[in-house]
Amino acid sequence: MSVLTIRKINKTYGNEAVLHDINIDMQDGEFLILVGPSGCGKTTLLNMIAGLESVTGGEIAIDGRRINGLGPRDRNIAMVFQSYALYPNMTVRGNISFGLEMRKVPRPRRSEIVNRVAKTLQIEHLLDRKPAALSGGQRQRVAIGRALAREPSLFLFDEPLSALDAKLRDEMRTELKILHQRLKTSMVYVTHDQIEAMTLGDRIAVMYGGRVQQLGAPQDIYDNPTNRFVAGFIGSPAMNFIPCELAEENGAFGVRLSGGEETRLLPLPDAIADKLKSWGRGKAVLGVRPEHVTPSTAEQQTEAVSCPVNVVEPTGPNTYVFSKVNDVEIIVRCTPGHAPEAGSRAKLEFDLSKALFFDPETDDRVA
Amino acid sequence: MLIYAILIFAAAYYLLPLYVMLTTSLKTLHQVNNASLLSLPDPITFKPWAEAWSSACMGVNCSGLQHYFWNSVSFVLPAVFISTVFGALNGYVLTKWQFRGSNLFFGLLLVGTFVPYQMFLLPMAWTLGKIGLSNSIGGLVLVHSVYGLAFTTLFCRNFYVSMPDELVKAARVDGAGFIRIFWRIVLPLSLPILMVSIIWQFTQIWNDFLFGIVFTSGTHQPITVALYNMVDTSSTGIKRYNVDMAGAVITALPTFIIYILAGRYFVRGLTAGSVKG
Repeated sequence: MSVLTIRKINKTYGNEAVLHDINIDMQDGEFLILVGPSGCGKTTLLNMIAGLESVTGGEIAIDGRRINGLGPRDRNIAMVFQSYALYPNMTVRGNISFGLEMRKVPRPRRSEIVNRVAKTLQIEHLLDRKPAALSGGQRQRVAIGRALAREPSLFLFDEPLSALDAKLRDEMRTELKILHQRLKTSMVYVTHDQIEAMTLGDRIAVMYGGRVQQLGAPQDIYDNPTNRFVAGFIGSPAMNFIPCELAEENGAFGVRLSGGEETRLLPLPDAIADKLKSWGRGKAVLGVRPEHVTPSTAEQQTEAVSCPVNVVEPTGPNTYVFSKVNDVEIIVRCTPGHAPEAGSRAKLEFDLSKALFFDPETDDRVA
Repeated sequence: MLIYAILIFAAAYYLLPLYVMLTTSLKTLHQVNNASLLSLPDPITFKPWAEAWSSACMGVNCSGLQHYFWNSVSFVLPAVFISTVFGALNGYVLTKWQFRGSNLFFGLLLVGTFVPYQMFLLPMAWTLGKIGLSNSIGGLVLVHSVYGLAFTTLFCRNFYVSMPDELVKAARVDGAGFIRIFWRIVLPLSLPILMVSIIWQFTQIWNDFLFGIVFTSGTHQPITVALYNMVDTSSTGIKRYNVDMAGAVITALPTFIIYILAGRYFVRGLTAGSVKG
């Protein structure tokens, strides 16, 4: 059964439309990520699900019940905020039980729930402290505990990890994933961090300009982005986009690439070539991920392009090489032992079976 | 060293009148008239205080300041309470439950802090007459509450602006409503600014003379007006400086006590929001 249904949701402030025709159907127990750059409307959408912002058009249903006009308290949701928003004047115990108290849960049952939640999150020893006496990670746990206590149909997370430092963020991310696997609760999670999106989500909705650009499983979005925005947003370092000419020479259909010296025509696999032929235009944007370009090891490799090596950045597991193809900067991922030297030239091999092509004008994917 | 010298001088300069008031109020009239202004009282007498409190004359009425003291208490406390509570509510609405035009509303309210007392007098006198509150304690409560509202709203609104909105959102999701959020979450965090509001309002209203003398007469007058009348009356006969000074100290005492009790919150509240934490 779907726990959350969003149908043709619109939101406008005055004359400014911030969300356009959003459609999302979320299954019970699913971990759904709303990801996008700031200003894409993801937090607005979350606030609309929570009932903190009004709906301009369309319908939101939780557990099959239309909730458009209902206040936050009547929606059977719980929310974790970016700043945690713990009540500073109450102890941890008070924070966790406040929502239960507002819902007139009898006192003995309340303390039972608080103890259970505290045990789940390992914050039993903090129950009598005030939020000011907690560390960032502990506050985060309490905020999650406050949400858990109510056992709602749907959990909403608004960038809950963005206020933590890098190391703690990684730890909490894993903990959240474990928590979700164990409790099997339905969660909607807003983030601008594509790594959080990839690692946590069962499905990801990539948002941009008030629209859902693509909704799908993380790996599917990574491998098969529907347009240039999604392709560039998901993945780090970002996908390389190389404007190029499409041409046919000696019966081989391919792309022309140049590293500044000679121009090579690299033939494309048949499946991609057929799509591009039927698309029928002469120029396209080639999208290729850094891991699909590698410095050639063989001496004479006909399908490699000689390119300048401008900068070499070792990161430990990978070394990134900055080069230039068709006058745009590209990033190449190398294994540390095989990286060329900065200032030299290298022959780069392009794995074109993984290549994507985008329309230079509309940014839509064409192959 | 120089800075301490300047500070000591400045302190002495401001404390000297208080010294004269206190010593004079403890002197006999004979000593007041014959010894130096700065001399210590010898012998010390509390009779001027007793007279100022219970038997000094205001015109023909010779029952001291006590009745007027309690007059002042009886309208200052409700007026401080009402203006502070509604100021906090206003600030809460203007920051956490913004409505269309709420900023304009706040702007207009702000104008209220620039309006001089004197401009209120005639329209207010007319209004009090119409609603039957002229020459009454209730009338003074109303006047001071309304006039103070602009200030208390300004204080509280600026304090609540720095309080995170997510607190209110979290409470709404938790199921609390408008009043419950105010009572359980916003108000407990407002102690510093409530103290500022209380000190400010108490000082303003207790020390007010103009509204008191315009809107009340006879037995309904506040202590500031009664003190004026007392000094005025004594000047027709022998000038009893010791009783006048005792009356003045009695009149000033409540604001003094408020500052001692709540003063540390005053600075804390005024600077709240500027520093995180």
